[in-house]
Amino acid sequence: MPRRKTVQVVAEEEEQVDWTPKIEQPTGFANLRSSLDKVKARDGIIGYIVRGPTSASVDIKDPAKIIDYAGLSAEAMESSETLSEAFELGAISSIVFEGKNVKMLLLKKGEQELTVFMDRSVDHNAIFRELS
Amino acid sequence: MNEDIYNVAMRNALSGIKNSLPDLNWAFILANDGTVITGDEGLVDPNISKAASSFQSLAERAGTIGGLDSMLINGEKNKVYVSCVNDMYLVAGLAKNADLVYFRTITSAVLPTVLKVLDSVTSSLTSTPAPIEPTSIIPFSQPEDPEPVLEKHASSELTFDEEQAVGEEMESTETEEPEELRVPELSAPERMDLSKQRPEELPSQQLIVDRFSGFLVKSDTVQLDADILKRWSDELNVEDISEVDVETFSGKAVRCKVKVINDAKLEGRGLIRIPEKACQSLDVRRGELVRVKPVVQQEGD
Repeated sequence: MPRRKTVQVVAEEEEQVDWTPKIEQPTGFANLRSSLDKVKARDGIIGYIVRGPTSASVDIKDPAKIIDYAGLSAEAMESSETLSEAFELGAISSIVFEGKNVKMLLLKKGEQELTVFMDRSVDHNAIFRELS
Repeated sequence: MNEDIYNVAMRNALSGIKNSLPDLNWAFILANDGTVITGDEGLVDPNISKAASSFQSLAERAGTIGGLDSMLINGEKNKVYVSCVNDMYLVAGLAKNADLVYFRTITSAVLPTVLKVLDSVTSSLTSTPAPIEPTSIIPFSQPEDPEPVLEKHASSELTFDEEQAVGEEMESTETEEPEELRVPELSAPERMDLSKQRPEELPSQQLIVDRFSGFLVKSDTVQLDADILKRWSDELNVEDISEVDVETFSGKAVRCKVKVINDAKLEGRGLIRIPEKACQSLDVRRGELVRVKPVVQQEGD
């Protein structure tokens, strides 16, 4: 009669791996909105545009300029990506676009593309720090 | 000389800036119509053209915020800084940790100065000195004046020799003067006659082409600085200059009506604004130099 082989399974202690993806979107987005609202309350801030993969949110003081600003922001992002690709700049962390009257700060946060419009006198570095 | 004096000077200025800024990897200059004026020889052409076309549409859009003044793209590896210098854009590739303040200081001081010097050199050297161009007033198409020796000095072949002209103006060490440009030995009576004719000398000037277009733009009318037109009308003792002859380095010439530049930003910069169609027929591009002469109607015309 064959002997039964007894195998003892030693349950190894599983390493705790936090593999579960964090569902950041709602809280992240809410945080972003609140940061943007804080930023918008500053002096010299004209407004902002947040562009996500499926939606966009616009808050510009002068509604007549929304279309122009949205077009400019999209063009700036696209053009910067082209330049970045052509000259191998790597992933873009921020873009500062200064016009004769208005300054524009563009940055990416996850899937959201943010554009903040401000007067030229505003310190865009402070805005960048606050948003990133 | 095939290369435009302007481009050469700008390239030299760029390489000078590059030498003083180790963080500057490459640079090129774009006109606001997307034409590459000058750039690093090492830069790959397709990249520049790609960047230029992309940048041009952005610059057009920037009218919304009063026109583009500067743009900084912070990339993971490097950055690109674009700054508006007069009507041109300097596009520079910088190291990630480049000192932007220093870069801006250098470029904002050097490039406008170079442009200003170039403009003044161009405008002053192209006003033909009185003693060697005592010609009478002749429209382009008319036969030569009965003073062949003097007329010879006004020929486009000589006056279009940019290098020589620059050399003279900048008081370079070259002392040899081409025979054709030597002031002819004139006898005393001849000199007296010429001095009498002085108000009738045909002035001319080299100017930088600025192309423009639009719905209501007349293709036969160019625009010049009011100062130049006034100076010519004073020199020629005429009320106003209504037509000019525009000659290119390649020898093409066209007669156009002339008006004063209507854009205050472009005044006093040694520009001639030529309609797009006229540019095409002359085969000139923005930034190139052309020689412009006033046309004074002969009596009876």
